[in-house]
Formats: sequence, structure tokens, C-alpha cells
Amino acid sequence: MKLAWLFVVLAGTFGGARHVCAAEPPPRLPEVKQVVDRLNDLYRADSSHARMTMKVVTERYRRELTLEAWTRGKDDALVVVRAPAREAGAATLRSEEGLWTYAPRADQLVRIPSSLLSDDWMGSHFTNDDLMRETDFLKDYDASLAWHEEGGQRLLQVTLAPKPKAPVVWSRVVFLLDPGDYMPLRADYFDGAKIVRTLSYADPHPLAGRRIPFTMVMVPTDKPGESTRVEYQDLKFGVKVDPSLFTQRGLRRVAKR
Amino acid sequence: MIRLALRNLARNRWRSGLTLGGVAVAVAMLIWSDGLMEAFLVTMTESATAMQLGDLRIESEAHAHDSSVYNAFTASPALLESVRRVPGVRTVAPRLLTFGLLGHKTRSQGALVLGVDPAIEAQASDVAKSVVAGTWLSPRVTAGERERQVVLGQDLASLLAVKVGDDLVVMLQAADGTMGDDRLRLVGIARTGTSDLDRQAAWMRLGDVAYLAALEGQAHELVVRSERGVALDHVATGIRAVIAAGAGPKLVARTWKQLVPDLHQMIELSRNSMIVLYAIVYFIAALGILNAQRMSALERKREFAVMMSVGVTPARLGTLVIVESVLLASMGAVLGALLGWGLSAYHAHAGLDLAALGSQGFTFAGISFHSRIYFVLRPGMVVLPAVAVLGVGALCGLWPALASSRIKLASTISGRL
Repeated sequence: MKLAWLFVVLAGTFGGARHVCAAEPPPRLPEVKQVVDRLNDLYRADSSHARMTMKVVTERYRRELTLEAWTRGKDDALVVVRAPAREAGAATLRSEEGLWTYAPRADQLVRIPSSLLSDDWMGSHFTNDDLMRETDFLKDYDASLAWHEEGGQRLLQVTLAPKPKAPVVWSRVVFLLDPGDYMPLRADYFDGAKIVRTLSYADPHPLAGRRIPFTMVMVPTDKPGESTRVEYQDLKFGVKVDPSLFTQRGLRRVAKR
Repeated sequence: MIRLALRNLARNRWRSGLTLGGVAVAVAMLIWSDGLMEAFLVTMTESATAMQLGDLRIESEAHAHDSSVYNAFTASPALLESVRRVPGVRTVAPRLLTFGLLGHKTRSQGALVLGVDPAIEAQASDVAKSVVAGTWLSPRVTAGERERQVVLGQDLASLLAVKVGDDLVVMLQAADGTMGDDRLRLVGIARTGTSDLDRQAAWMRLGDVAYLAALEGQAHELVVRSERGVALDHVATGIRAVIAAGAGPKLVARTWKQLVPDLHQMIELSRNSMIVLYAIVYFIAALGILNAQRMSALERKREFAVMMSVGVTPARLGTLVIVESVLLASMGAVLGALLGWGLSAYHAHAGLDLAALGSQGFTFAGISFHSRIYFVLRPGMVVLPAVAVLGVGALCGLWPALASSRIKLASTISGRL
């Protein structure tokens, strides 16, 4: 009982110190788990169907792909290229058995070996690993919360530090969230103390009782002028998705369409 | 004088014989170990250059820093022809290099896809010769050929669990950002002895890779093989003049010594370490001759004193002792040269199986050596140790000769030392 009382006094002391420094008292930080769960579940649903465009600008080329994607449960995901015609039918499949790429001309699925996970996906600034990674941040990272001031706004900052031995290439990932509904606005990916790429979220749409950003822009820090912009044209949650879609036969059926 | 010297040497056959034998063995050993060393170094150089590097490589300056698929250059027939015309150039082989994904059934592996001209590559490197199963890529698309041909490094083939005749899928990122994919037919498996190639390489026709990677008419490197016996730096200078005149991105030409300086330095170091070995062997041979001559001069002190008292000048006496040791050394040198040359010639012809020495082939700097190596034998390698031993013999005669010419007549003859 006495101990508990001591805690109250201590908390009051430190809390009081903060009050003195800040002009406006910052609200209490929310629960870490609650915030990270929201990040985990951002685009997740029992099933989904989406159409999107991906615009890649690099020093050497500029390309625009039209993509169609399905997800089911936590593991299964399929992305099929619809346009341009030259690449239509190429697909990437994520299943319990790993990440696969579909070679339309050869009509065969090829597993992407773990040594190639850090390679770029479809010539974009996203990597295979971005597609493959478990959407459970708390498995590989330790999360901590803080307040962050930017442009006169108070944002919630989530710092994800990789757990020891976690198979993660980043030394740190820092998300900035809207403190209201925890919708992400930006993520900075660190290598050492340096930001190597930044993912920005924009254009929120209300869907399934939450706000979902329909635009994502990945900008590599070391390549000025380059970027990859993904825009959802259409995103539906809870649609009926045939489980056989995430097999070679099912994939071939939709890829060839 | 020579007859006298010979007679003197013959007086103690055992001693002369042993000294002579010692000199002969030393010379033979030098010749043989020099042959072995050269064999090592030549094998090493050839392994490094024959499979992949070539003697000289031309690439864009950007590719020399960053071997990305984008840093290709236009390899026009005119450029190839002008490089080929540089004196000393034997072959110029264009290559495309790109990383791709190879798949067979449920297995897949990342691979270094090399686009080569099958006929030129067969002259420019030993890859075609190193095919251990199936065949090398056919220069022309054969009638009825539906799939593009591929030859895999042996370890890559076993990782993918494919055998000759199997189908594979290749996927690679093209220079325009798109993904190229196609079905391939495995026509051959190569064992190059270079571990990187055996584990990673997939050879395809230049045109096929150019199509998949959207690099028509381009190359990432031109591999140049020079004529044997031509100074490579000379050829390099000629080539640099030619490529500097061309339009397009800046090209650089680097010799294998510049491409793998480590290997080059190691070879130079090995050559220099041979000099230390030479010094030791000469020193030991010198000690043997010196010992023998000194002993024989001491024993014949009285005889020398008598010779001098009947009118032989000290200079003549000294010369006699030197001639004796030179004769001894030269006989040893000739015998040793014959022995060493014979042994080396045998190993140059039949090779030396290092497996007998307990080595099952070995790998150095990513290049694996076969356990049987073939000696290198040049006239200089035989003549040089023999001549050097002659000089050593003459030097070793000096001290006993000087000592002999300075003996005191009266006390030596009377035996009162």
C-alpha cells in the first residue's frame, strides 16, 4: 500500500516537471498495442479486392502499371499486372509457402528465394520483402510511442526497433500517425542514423468504419527525383474471394484474363 | 693445369664425389622447384583469365564502378572490329551480364545470366571446353528449337536439381524496368573450376539475353584475349587508343592485373620468394664446396710447399685450387642440370599428381586447381642455376687458394706448424 502511494507521488513529481516545460499539456500517450494493431490492420480485412495504378519514376525509365489484387486471410495475396499489354499477366503470389512470381510467357510459377527478397519488385521502389513481410509489426519489432511536433501539429510517433536477430533490414522504422484515429501519414525507414526511404500516405477514404489512405508514395532518399506512387482506384473489403485463386491454377485463370 | 686439377680431384674420389653429388642435387632441386612454382603460377593466371576475366576487359566507366544492368554500351560491329585489329589481339568477345531468377518445378535460384556469342566465347574462354554434360550453346538457332538454350554451372544445376534436356524458367529485370521471362532448355552443364561461376553462372546466347533484358545491340563488357607471348600492357595501350576515339559513353580497358590486383600481387610475391629459396640453396652448396676444398688444401699443405719450393709461383698454385673447385662445381652443375631438366621435362609431359602429396585439388581465391599440374620448362630455368653454381664454385675456391698461396715454406715442409 505504501509502495503504491510512493508511485503516485513520483508520477506526480515528474508529471509536474513536464507541465512546467510545455506550454500546452500533451495528452497521455495511448497504449502501444492499440496503436500498432491499428497499423497492422490498416489495409487488412478477411478478404479484399483492389484495383490500383503504380507509377514508377526512375532516372532511367518511367512506367505505369495497372494492377489488380486480392487478399484472403492473413497470408494469401495475389497481385496481377493488367497493363501495359507487354507485361499483362505477370503476377506475384504470396501464400503460406512463401513468395512466388508468375512468368506469363513461360506459364510457370517461380519461387522468389530469400536471397532475392531485398530486390525491387516489378522495377519499383518497393522490395519483394515489402510484399512478403508479415503484417505483424510486434513480431519483429519493439515499438515505443512519443509525441512529435510537425508543422504546428502534434502527431503520434511510433518508433519500431528490430528485435535482436529479427530478419529485418532496417535499423529503425518511424511512423507518424494522426493522433485522432492513428491513421499513418508517413513512415521513415532508417539505415543506421540515416533515412534511406520515406513512405507517405495520403488521400484517405472512409472504408469499413475507418479512414484508409488511398495513395502511397515511396521516395528513396539517395535518388533525387525518383519515386513510386501507388493509388487505389477501387478497394473493397469483405468480398467473396475463392481460396483456389492462390494456387497456380487459380492464378493462371485470372492472370490470363 | 686442368689435367693436374682433375688428377688432384681424383685423388680423393669419395670427397670429390660427395661434393659433386651435393652440387648436382642442389642444382636439380632448384630447376625442379622452379618448374613446380612456375606451373602453379601459370595455372593460377590461366585459371583466372581463361574462364571469365580474359586478358583484358573493356566496359563502360560506369559499369567498372557499378556492375548494374543499366550500365551497358553499344557494342557496334565497327567497334568490335577496330579492337580486333589492334596488334596482339586474338579474340574480342562481347558479353551481357545480368542477374536473374531461374526456376525449375518448385526450386529456384538467383543466377548470373551471361549472354555470350557461342562461337566467339569458345575462343575467348575455356567455358565451352569445360562442359561436362550435354553440349555448349549452338552458334545458330537449330531447326526445331523451341526453347532458348542455356548452359548452367555445375553447382547451380545441382541446386536446381536439373539435368540436360530439362526445361527451366528465367525471369529477369530488363533495362527498361519491365520483367522479362521465358522458358529455357538446359543443353549443357559446365564445370569451370571457378567456384563463383560453378555456383551462379547461366550462359545463354547474346541475342536471347539482349531480347529478355531489352538490351539489343548492347554489351556490358568486351573480353579481349591477347596472342601468346605479346606484352599485355602494349596491347592495352593500343586498345585504349582505339576506344578513346569512339563515340558514346566513356569506355575503360583494364588488364587482368588491374582487375584482380590481389592475384597479381600474390604471383609477384611468389616469384620473389623463390629468390630467397635460391639464396639458401646456393649458400648450402657453397658451404659444401668450401668445406671440401678447404680440407683438401689443408691436407696437401706440405705438397703445396714442396711445389712452391721447386719454383711454382703462389699465383699458379692459387689458380690451381680455384680451377679444382670450378671443375668440381661445373661437373656438379652439368649433372644437376641434366637431372633437373629430365625430372621437370617428365612432369611437364606427364604432370605431377599432387594427390600423391595428400591434396585432392584445392581452391585459392575462388579458383580451384586440379590435383595434377603440368610443369613449365624454359631453357633459362635450367641454365641459370647451373651458371650460378659455377660462379659459387669459383668464389668458394678463393679462400683455400689464398690460404694455400700464403703458406710458409720452411715450417710447413719441416712439419713444425
